[in-house]
Amino acid sequence: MTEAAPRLVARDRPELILGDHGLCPGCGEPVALRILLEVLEELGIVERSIGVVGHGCYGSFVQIMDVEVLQCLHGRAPSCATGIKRVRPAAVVFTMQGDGDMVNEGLQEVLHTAARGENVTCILLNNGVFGDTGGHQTATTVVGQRTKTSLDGRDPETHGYPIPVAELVASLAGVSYVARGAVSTAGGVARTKRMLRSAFEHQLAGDGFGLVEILTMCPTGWFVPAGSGPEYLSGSLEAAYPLGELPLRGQP
Amino acid sequence: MTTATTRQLLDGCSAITESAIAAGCRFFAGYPISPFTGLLESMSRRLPEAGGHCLNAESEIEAVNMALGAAAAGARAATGSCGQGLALMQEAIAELALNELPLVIFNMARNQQDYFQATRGGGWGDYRTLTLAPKDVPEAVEHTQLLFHLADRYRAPVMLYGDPFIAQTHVSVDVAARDLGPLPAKDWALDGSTGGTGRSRQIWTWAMGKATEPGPGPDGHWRAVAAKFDGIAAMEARSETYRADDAETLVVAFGSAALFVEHVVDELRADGHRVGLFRPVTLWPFPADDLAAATRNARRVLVFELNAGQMLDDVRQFTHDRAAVHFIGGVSIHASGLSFGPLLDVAPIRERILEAAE
Amino acid sequence: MSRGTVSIDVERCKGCDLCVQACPPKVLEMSTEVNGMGYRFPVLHDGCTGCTACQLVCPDYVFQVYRFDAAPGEEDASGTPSATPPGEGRPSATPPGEGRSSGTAPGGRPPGRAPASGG
Repeated sequence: MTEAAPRLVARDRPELILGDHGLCPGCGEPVALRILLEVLEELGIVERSIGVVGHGCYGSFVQIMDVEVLQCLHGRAPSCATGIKRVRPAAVVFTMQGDGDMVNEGLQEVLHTAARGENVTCILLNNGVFGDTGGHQTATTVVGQRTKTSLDGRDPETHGYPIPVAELVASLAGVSYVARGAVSTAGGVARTKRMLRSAFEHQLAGDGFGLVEILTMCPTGWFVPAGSGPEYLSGSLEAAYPLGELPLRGQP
Repeated sequence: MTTATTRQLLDGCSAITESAIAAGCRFFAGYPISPFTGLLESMSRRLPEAGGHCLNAESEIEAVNMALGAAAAGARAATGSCGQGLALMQEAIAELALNELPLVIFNMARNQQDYFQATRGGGWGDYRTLTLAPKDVPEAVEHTQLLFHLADRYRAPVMLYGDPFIAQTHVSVDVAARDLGPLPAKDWALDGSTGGTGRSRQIWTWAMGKATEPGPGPDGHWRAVAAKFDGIAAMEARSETYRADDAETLVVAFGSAALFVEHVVDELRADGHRVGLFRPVTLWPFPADDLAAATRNARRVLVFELNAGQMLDDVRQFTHDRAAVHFIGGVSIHASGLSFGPLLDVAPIRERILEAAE
Repeated sequence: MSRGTVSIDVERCKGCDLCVQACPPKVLEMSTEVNGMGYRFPVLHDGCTGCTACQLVCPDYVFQVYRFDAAPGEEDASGTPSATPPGEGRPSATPPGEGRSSGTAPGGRPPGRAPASGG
């Protein structure tokens, strides 16, 4: 009787990841990094790619991603990406920003860059919390979510309502692709990877601005056990931020 | 037989634009604010014709960060504003300095009240901003090309401190490109090409490098950047004197104020007063050694600037006890708030010098 | 029988349990021992289908996933029962690679562990 030969069907990580990250157990951001780099590899655009990375836990990815990177000021990545793309239109330019970075500090930047139709791809890692500073409320923290600045849960009376930036971007002309995925389930990871691929394909076609929002688990910032991230995500964030490709409402 | 000339009659903003294009500037982003707006307008008109990009950004913060991105990708880039707008750009100016990115910043100031802002900086960390203060449009044209050269040479943001007279006065100027010498290639600039090689380029103020090739980290990097600025201070101070050799009274002034003081010096010399002018051309690095030499024989040093006394601090510091230092300037703003007030005129300047010389 | 298998870099694992939750045939179980960082890590039981769910969800890039292809003359691994009944001494293949451990338990050996690498 012969032995079946094992065939590798999935590598642990692409060679573009140069080392281990130090993020928390159960964090969704490293999953997003992996599928992003897999997409760049599969599209054969690594040697044209320039990433603009903001500030957050994911900021440390700058040390382990084998792609050219500008680490920029909090919130400003879409503006820096604009400058890069204008002078190097053949480059594939993307941003990587958390919700605090893009939707708090940088809301103006992402909306204007989208409306200008800059041919760049912005990637939002949305976990509804400022994780890197220890777990504080952001513009995407959902109602009822507890953080160190909304200890009893976000209350609209005191803290107002979250901002769905993907829907705002999708309302603007100049935008070619907006999608929201989640890395909390295997199916979600696979679908989110396809969204990233579509977004980069739009950039390669010169269609205009693209945004992929990726809901990521932050059990530390959510005060839940590492393994409870997916459950918390689907119970809280997904209700406020529906998954899927968003219809583009801003087309003239 | 006529020869072609590169002289044109241009307002200061247009002249600076032509000089920048001659220097190879191909990216500009700005936000309207008087009297900088003329520069944004002329760049908007001329830069696309020269194959570049000019973006009317949606805020000063976006403008300077767009320019930062363009610079990171290897382009000769510029931005500008004045006072309030530059206040918004401070974080990014520090970021440029600590990222070692070249950028020319055209500070078309409304007055001389932003000397501290320019020379001390309102950003974060240990950095300095090489700042040139032209006294007229021809010097602004010359400084523009010099600034693009220095920015690339030192990999740092650098500033032109202009003003409303320089921005709006029409002067016949030569805007031909000047060869200022060779510069190293920008092999640090991002173009994507080192992706996947294990040695991909990284521009990061914390300079921690990659897991496979660690960098100096914030401590090593920021010490090196500070040392670089010390080197610039030793090499790039510039100044000019006017009839100062035997001056008993030395007036210190910069920018357009210095032009007025020059005229007053001529009037007072004609009346027998031994008075001269010392003009810092670089506001940072302040030309301390030149000032020391110029004040060697002076009895008094009079600081004339249109503010409450900012350059005064530097003049006091670097004059030491060689001569008495007096402030003869003051806040003087035009009723519009957008230009100089009545103190910037021959009669009041003359009066204040004579009063201080008694 | 298993249609697939995984190798598990136990020293990289941070014990988040997401793989255990994601695995459709439920063949992953957290160990009782801990790795060098003090985390429990997944152990693979029989029945892996090589679906890659664990690899997809893992934040620490712990898994490499393999499927068994049919040898010439045999039915392929996509669903046809093998000639050997389950559990009867046919070893699960241990894929190559140093510093890794297969979660499967060939021939009665307890689940392997990556040698302490000091990393």
